[in-house]
Amino acid sequence: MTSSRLKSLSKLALLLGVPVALLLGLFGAGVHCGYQHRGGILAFERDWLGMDVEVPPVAPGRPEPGASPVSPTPPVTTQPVTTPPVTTPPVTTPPVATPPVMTPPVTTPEPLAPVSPAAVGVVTEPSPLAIAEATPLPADLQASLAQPVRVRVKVLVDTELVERRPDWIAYAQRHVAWASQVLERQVGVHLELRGVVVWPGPSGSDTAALLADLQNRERDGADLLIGLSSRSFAGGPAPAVAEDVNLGFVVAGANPGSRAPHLRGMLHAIGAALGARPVIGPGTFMGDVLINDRSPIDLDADSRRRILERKGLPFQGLPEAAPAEDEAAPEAAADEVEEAAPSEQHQSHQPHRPLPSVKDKDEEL
Amino acid sequence: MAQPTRLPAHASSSDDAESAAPQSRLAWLLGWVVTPTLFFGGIFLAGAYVGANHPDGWVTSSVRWVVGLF
Repeated sequence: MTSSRLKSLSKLALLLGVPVALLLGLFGAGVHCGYQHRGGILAFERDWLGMDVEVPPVAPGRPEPGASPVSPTPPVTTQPVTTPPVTTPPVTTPPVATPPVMTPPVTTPEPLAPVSPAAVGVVTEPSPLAIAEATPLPADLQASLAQPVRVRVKVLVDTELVERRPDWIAYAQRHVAWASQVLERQVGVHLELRGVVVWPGPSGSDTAALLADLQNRERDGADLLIGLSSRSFAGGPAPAVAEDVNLGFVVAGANPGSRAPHLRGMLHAIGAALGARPVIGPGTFMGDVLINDRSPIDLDADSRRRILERKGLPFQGLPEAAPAEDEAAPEAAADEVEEAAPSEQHQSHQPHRPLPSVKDKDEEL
Repeated sequence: MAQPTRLPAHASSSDDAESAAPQSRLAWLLGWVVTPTLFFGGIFLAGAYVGANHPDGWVTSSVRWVVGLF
């Protein structure tokens, strides 16, 4: 009797225990896998799901959890802040180039020797959107393409976007780096990030009001101010561009469904600043419609030609936006978080300090 | 002590009809592929979420201890 009871009890335990053990094992395997690939998963949550998570720093040489090479979206790789990048080739800037900032109100983008696309800030992450191969150019434009031009940009992020994205500084850094990758390939324009600041107040306004607001903002040595608006990109008429100067203030709209929500809007805005006119339809980032991520980022031939012809022109400035050489100016605004571009080889006349890494900025937040 | 005798199972006509009814491909797919995948995949993903977001929690520590035994 006792043995039969024991037998029944063991059968019952086996019947219940095996499925429970299997489920617990499955859950434990998930925990182990999640711990081992922590960095990749957190980067996925941050970049794709928009979750507010902190991606752990990756110790060099140590495959700590999160440094998985098979992570779907590699985390932003950073370099030490105090040491300049050693892999960038030496760049020789023509010493006799006209000092652009000494002639206000117009600032001139500086020609520079070829630089690597990863030189913007410390972001080396490739663009999440495919970039179309640049088509061959005629000889005159080929020469223009071969002469890279550096455009110093300052990004203003509107408050709604700041509230929605706690990593808004890294967000702006990544988008400028990605836009620079596209522009370098298509038109030989290299973007140098001069600063990322909060842009209070303009949400909900129309584009004209946003542009008017931008014109009153500190330039801080940048050639071009880019206002990142949380509003959806809506095309719109081309801003008036003078023949002899490029625009100094543009507003970039968002493509909310994209993995890089402001990339196409930023490219569209920079293209408009450089004189390209909006194009009806998709197929180019100068198009007036939203494009999904499956289409590679491309530039139509007319816009490309116009940008190549105008990329050496100075940028529109304001008399009061005199060259802000001093570093005290950024601290004047209480709501601004200033950063200077990394001290690259092509030293400009403006003293600047290295741009903090993305992770540093995240930690500050 | 008299034990109750089990009656032989008489398959009713309705049971026959049910077992003989052809199962649609969609029902088979839902029952054998989609639902189990969602169920077990959800459990696995829940574990991965816990492991990634709570690396210092007792759950993750326990799993690491168990894994460390092997």
